[in-house]
Amino acid sequence: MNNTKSAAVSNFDKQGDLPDAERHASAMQAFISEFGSRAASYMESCVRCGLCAEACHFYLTTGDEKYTPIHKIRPFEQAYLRHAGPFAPLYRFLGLTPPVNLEELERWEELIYDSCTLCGRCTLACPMGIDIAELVKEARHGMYSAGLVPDRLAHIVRNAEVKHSPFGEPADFRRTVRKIAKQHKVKIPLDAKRADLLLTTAPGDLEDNPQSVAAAARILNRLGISWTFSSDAFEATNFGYLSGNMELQKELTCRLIDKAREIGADTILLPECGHAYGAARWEAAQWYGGPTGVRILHMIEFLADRIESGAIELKKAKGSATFHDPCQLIRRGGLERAPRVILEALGFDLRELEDHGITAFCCGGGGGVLANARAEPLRLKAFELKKSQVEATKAEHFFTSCGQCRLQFTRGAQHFKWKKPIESLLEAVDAHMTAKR
Amino acid sequence: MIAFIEGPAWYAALTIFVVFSLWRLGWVLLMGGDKHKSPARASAAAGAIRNIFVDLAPRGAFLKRGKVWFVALAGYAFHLGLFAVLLFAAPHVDFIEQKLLGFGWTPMPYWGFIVTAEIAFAGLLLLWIRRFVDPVTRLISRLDDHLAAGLTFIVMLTGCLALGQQSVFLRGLHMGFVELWLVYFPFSSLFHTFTWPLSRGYSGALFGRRGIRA
Amino acid sequence: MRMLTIIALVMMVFAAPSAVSAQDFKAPVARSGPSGTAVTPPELVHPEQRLLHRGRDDISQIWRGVRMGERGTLSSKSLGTPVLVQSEGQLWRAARSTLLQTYGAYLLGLSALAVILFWLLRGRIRLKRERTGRLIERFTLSERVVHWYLAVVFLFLGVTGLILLFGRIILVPLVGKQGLAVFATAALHGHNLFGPLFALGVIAMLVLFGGDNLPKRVDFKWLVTGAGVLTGRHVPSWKFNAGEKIWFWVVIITGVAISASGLLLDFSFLATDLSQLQIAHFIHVSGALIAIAGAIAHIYLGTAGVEGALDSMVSGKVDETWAREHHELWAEASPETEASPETEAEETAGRTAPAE
Repeated sequence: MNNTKSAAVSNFDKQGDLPDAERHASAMQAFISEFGSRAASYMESCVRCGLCAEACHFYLTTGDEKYTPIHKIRPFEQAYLRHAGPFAPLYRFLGLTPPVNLEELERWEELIYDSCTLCGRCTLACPMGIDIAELVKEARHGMYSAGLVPDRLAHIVRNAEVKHSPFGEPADFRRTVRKIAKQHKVKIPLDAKRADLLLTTAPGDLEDNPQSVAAAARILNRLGISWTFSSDAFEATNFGYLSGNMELQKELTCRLIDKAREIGADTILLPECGHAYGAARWEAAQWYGGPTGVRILHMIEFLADRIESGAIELKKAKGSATFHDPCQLIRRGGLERAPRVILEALGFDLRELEDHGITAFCCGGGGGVLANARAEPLRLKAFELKKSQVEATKAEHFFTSCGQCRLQFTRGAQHFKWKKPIESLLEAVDAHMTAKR
Repeated sequence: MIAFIEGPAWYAALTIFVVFSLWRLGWVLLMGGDKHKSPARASAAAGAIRNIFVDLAPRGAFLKRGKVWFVALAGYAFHLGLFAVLLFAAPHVDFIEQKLLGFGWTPMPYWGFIVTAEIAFAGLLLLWIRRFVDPVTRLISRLDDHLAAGLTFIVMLTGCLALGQQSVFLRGLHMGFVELWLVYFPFSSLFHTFTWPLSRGYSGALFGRRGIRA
Repeated sequence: MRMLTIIALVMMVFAAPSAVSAQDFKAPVARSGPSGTAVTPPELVHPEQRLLHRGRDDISQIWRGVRMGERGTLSSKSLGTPVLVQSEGQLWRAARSTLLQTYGAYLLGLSALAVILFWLLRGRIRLKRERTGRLIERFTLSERVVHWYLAVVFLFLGVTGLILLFGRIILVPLVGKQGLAVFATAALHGHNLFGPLFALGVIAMLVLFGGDNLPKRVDFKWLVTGAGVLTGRHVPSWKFNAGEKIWFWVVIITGVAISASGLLLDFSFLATDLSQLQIAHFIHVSGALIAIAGAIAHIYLGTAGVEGALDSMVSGKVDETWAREHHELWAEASPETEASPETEAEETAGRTAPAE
């Protein structure tokens, strides 16, 4: 009786014109190649307690059991049991688990892409410590191979492949950067031959929040750092990581690192973006094939560090503030302290959200969900949850430090006509930074 | 019959249990392929140890949810009760001494047994019932999860029916189900007994490596 | 104590003379109740059995001594003055085999008969109108879990309890005395162990369901019209109708009585006098028989008897049509219910039909 609700809507997009058999085969191939000891340990430990649902913003806000995180990877699990597990022949011979079929993959597309932001909150709720977020990400590799990705996301991925970045070509970038430099009256080094630091950015900032790009430039200039943007390695976001396109993930990762090494930079500075940090800071070396020789820092990590070292001095701001912890930076990135250092230095009276730090709720737009037009109703549900927690703090300012979260909140706020501005830590630091000496 | 159940059948079941458990554990461990190469912020090993041995209570944020309390309390009641009964019930201590290790230890008193068995039963019953009536667990439960719960329940129940220690038949019944349970164990979700430190360890290592105070 | 004697005497008048049969006196005391476990330590049973072989005179002499309250030595002194055989135990045993066994069997049979009659007369009660596909939450997850917890424990205790009460009558012909011994020891230990779990379930039940089961004015109308069976018109009710409420309070009252008396029997060292155990046993079994008789009807009405009833306790949800047809007032007050039945037709036209 519950299945009627779960199976009623089957939302899926298909890319390419592969015959069904090939789609299926390549999905299975990719699924199976994902299993190592870690993923296998996860598969072997689940006792179906369902506590992961209690952590998931999509289950909590809809009450629909199909959003139970472990349920989202069922085809992936079936592939494991039948083809990679310790008793795979037994499972196949006795038919203990049905084979994955294409129709099932199509039905699961919605669960794997629309209803998971890879936020990892379920990982913390799981008594067995199963990292479901990681499993969903791995399952996406198979879905991508099968050409079963939400169209909007696939479209962005194609742009990233063909045009260098979802934002556009290097020429587009150069034009935009010059415009920002002019508009915001800030010097922006572009394509310097040598620099100590390679600054990167995200399409969201270039399009919707150019002041954020200007702020980063101003801070770096004031600090007297030798830095540059590169028009053929400016893109920090990694839609290969979000969509399951491993080729692209590797290409985008290597592009940044190669460029940094080429210009002699020892640091790649990532913008206020969550998944860029996950992809670059924690996965770069594995795609690069070994130590990168480059430090990869997130903007808030960098700012907090310079504040603590005294290099950045700030005028005190007034009033109270609350902070949304971006999943990929805090829960999955270990940067819980950095934003709090910055907010304290800014002099705000920090009023934490009811759920904050590593167990904060996701904004609802991460993991490629924001780029997925179909997922809007779900996103808005998650937004309402966050909105109510923000309102409960009665804080005057609402900060975050991830472009995707910010965009998700901005769109949600537009939809619900919520007046709260969504502010960036980077921009706040820029606005309050005193000129050195 | 009882001679068969307590003799060859017991050793056969024990062999299957050991061999296939080792097979399954070995398979998982030998798959390899852990490819984290990015510089760690802190110790992965420390994170793993923390996650396996220290962080065993639900995190505060989740305790706002009734189901988390329910599963945690019923889960611990069942598991602790089961282990206490398994290792400290007087007939079990005798059995371990005579058939397995050659030495024993002080068993718990009869009333202690009754109380722990009741706690274990209540926990298992509540968890198993929820499997049927909570849409979430109803959706995700496999036949295996019900068989695992059911067999464990029957093993515990036959054990308690044999409490009078007056009937060879009842003792044989209990032993028979224990053997069935042992044979089923390495192929079922009961195997989480051995894999939970692995999965918690892997995630703990991820937290540790990334400097997440999880 | 006096009360028990009176009960026993009253009952003996009613009972056939054969009720207190010779077998009751001769057989080694069954270890299935207070007379067995607490009354007669093995040291005392054995000499008696030895004497049995000597002939009737010796037996009558022993029993004369017993009736006179002859003093001896007793290894266990937990329950008062040591006597060879606690004579009132015979009254208790007679009460058990006539009042409890005989009338208990009648009661259970009657309940089953009523269910069969009801089924023949009314059949399965089906929904009269189409399902709307809109679901209303009838039981929360906690309510469902507690219900089934109590149900499972109750069934287990019911079966083991009936084995203890009727085992000698029903099982001996089937499995023999040796077989009964196996059943009896298994049932006894299982029953004693699960007892306290039942008590917890009754408390949880009272806490979760108590509020909705308080009597309301409409309940009297429901009762007076016999649930509308006589008038042929549906009588509206809130979340629970009067019949369900009566069943609920039967569960609670017998449940408390069974639990309290059962705990005393389980932890018999708490008793200061044997008669307390005998009275507790009498209450325990009477309460249980009433509860089992009720459960027979409840199980029928909750499963095969009423379409959609079982589902309400499994998924927790009922169709709006079900809610309106069975619990109209509750359905109307539910926030999930649509405003009026008229709008339903258009609404449901575009919806997928519910499963089943």
